[in-house]
Amino acid sequence: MKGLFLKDFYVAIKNLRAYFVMILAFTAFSFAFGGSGGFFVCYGVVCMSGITMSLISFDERYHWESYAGVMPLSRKQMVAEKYLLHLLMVLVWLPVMVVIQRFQQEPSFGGSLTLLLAAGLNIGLLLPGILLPILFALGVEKGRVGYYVVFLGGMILAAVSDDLASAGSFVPEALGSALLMLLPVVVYGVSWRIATRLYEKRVL
Amino acid sequence: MSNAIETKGLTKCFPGFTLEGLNLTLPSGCILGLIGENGAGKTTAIKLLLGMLKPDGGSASVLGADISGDLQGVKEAIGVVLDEPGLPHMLKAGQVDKIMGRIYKSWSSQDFAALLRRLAIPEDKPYGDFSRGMKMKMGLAIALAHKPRLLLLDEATSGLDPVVRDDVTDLLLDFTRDEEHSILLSSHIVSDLEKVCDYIAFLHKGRLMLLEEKDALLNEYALLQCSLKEAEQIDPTAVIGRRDTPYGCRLILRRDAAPAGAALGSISIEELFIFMVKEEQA
Repeated sequence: MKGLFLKDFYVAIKNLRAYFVMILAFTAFSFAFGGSGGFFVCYGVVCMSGITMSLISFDERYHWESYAGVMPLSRKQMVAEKYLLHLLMVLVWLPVMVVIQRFQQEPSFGGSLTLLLAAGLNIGLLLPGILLPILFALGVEKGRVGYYVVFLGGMILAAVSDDLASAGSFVPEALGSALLMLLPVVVYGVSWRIATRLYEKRVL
Repeated sequence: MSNAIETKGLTKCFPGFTLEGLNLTLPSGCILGLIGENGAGKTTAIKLLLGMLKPDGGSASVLGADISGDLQGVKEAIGVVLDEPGLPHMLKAGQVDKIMGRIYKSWSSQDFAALLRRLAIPEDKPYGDFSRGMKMKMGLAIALAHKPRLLLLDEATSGLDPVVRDDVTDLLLDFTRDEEHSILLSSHIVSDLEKVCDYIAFLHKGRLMLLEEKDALLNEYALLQCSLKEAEQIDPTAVIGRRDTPYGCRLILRRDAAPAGAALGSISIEELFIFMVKEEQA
């Protein structure tokens, strides 16, 4: 699987530089202008999903999926690589979100660290968790409709994310935070299994 | 002698096309040429052998491993060249080396570098800028650099210029100097297969029409040019192909059934294939 990670690294640094520039630019804005609200905090983690989807799209464009089929790689490994790569990117970005929140003039999520992490995990894992099985089952072209639907859902979620703090006040904070953090992890895990099964059945 | 590939009644159905009951045997140390027109089922057969498609019937083994099981280990020992390797376009040879070195346990960077030099593949150019010939040569270098025992080449020489095809042919002949090494080479360019193959198989519309040792095939069949009247006197069961021309008749027939004293000419594999296909269509 190391070879798959390395291949995606080469593809990303050459073809997906725009994402990295955008992430850096928005992070810089949030520091420079002391931006407030969930948008600045969550923008990076939304971009991580874009990077993962684009990597799958490039695999399809280059016919890498068929070519990988002749190598000693299982379909399970090919799915696992994308899920692990995405998870790694999200986990790396979470501490950055914390730092951005600390620098905000009006810290988003009421300054709550647990709500911030819950929002990061939900946006980072929930949306790809829904979308990735569609892409692995149908391919990027056919899965494009699913992408737009899920992306729209993600935008709505991002827009209301600041209200999560007040919504969370109706349940004990510890329980609410735990549930909010657990949900995306469970969905992502189930999604991984479903995607593996669907991809194993797909004719490449 | 063990068999590198063995299929028994291998069947795969698609809407509008069926690969029907394929029985193939490739002994170790040999080269088998799979000849067929476009859409005859050559790629389907290769994908079945690699476990990329699930068969609807029959069985097959590759290097002793049943294709219905896990082929991940066996694929270490199989080099494959598809009609175009699916490499990301920005990759340069050095990056390909690093990626493949992490995918294949038996990958040899030294062998890969030697193959790049031998095949004159540029190391500083991105793969996407390669010509078709260069891409095929890169595919072949990758297929050979992990020390395979079996090569599966799907239309690997189509679209290449004669010089590149000659380079590829030399490389394949070098590969089979080791008697443990075998090649299944599919193509619709019959002349390439005729040069290198020990065995020839004809695939037409998903059915195996013939599988035989090349030399035996060339000895067994002959070309006879005769008049229409003479043609009528020949045992029809010995004739496998016939073409009537304004000057008479061209027959492909079994040598042992030819009339005594008939001036028989030798036949090429390409002629034999075309005659057989046309006879089937008639």
